[in-house]
Amino acid sequence: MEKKNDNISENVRNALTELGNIGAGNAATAMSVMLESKLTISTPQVELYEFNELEEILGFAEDTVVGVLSLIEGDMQSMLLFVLGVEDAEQLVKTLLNQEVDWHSEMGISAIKEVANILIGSYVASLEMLSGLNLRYAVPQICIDMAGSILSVPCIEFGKVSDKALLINSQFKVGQKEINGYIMMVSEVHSFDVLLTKLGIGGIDG
Amino acid sequence: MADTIRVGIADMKLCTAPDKITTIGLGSCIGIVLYSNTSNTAGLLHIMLPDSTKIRQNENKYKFADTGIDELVKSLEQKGINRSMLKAKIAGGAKMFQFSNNSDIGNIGDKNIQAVKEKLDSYGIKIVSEDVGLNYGRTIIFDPETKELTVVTAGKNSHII
Repeated sequence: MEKKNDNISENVRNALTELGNIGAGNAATAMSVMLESKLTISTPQVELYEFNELEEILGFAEDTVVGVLSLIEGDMQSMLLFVLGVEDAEQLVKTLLNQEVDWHSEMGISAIKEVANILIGSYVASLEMLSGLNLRYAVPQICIDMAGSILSVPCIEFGKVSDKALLINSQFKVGQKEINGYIMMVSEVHSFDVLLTKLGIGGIDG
Repeated sequence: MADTIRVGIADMKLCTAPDKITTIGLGSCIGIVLYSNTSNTAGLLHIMLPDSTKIRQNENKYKFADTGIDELVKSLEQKGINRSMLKAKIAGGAKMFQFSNNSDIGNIGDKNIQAVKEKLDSYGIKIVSEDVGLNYGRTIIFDPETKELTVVTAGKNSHII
């Protein structure tokens, strides 16, 4: 998606990109070990989005996707969302369990949740390590539904304080197995201030 | 050539037949259609939150049940539809993720449903049909000609309310 709200300073963008890199990078390493396959991760995109833009970030808002969401609390408030397409979820379950298991079965779903739990856990741990902030995260919850409906959950949460949400979006790919997914950190704009101040960069507004 | 007008999140639009009006991927948000049996113009509002008075960032009136419905009624009245003629169909207010009940994220859908119903009631606008709550997302399409509201869920199952 093209960026439309380019009012984050270069410094802040670089710092958040680096944070996303390290967070998602550590998460990817954890996942590589689980899947016994090399996992590549894209340079994260850091953008401020209007809600209407966020809706479309995964493609068509009406497409069914698998979303696993965790709330981050403590010194800063944020959400981490792990999103997979339906076919990717199917492939992930097959790779993890090494057998033909219906990804939609209880076993399949719990495998996806476990992957998300590990990804989110290592993402949060690396954020904590970098910033020295004290963060907690809730047990992730899963939802299989329209992309727009899933993304409306972080939109509503941050809609209380802003009309925009800051998104750090990393895309990953698993070896030759063609599993594509996203790890997104979505926050109300100013909750990143705490983090940026800790890193000595100052707030979003400069 | 008839169009389908798309309403975004925290947004409102009006529509006149033969055009239809839609909003995609309602989660805990609510889509509110107001129409009159004597007019082929209708309006659709997509709200995110129940109450503008509890939120500092409240410039966008379409974001909230209270101010959004005020705007929708006002816009339809400007089109010559008296509020006493208005009827409503609503959908959305789901609980998408099963976080614990006392968390705000867990029950925002329910709060939205309640706020929309109270606000419509204060105008004396009757809710003719609804598909609200539960745990799934909804896309809605309203036809101002037939007054049918089609609700589509993930996997493309649809029904008319």
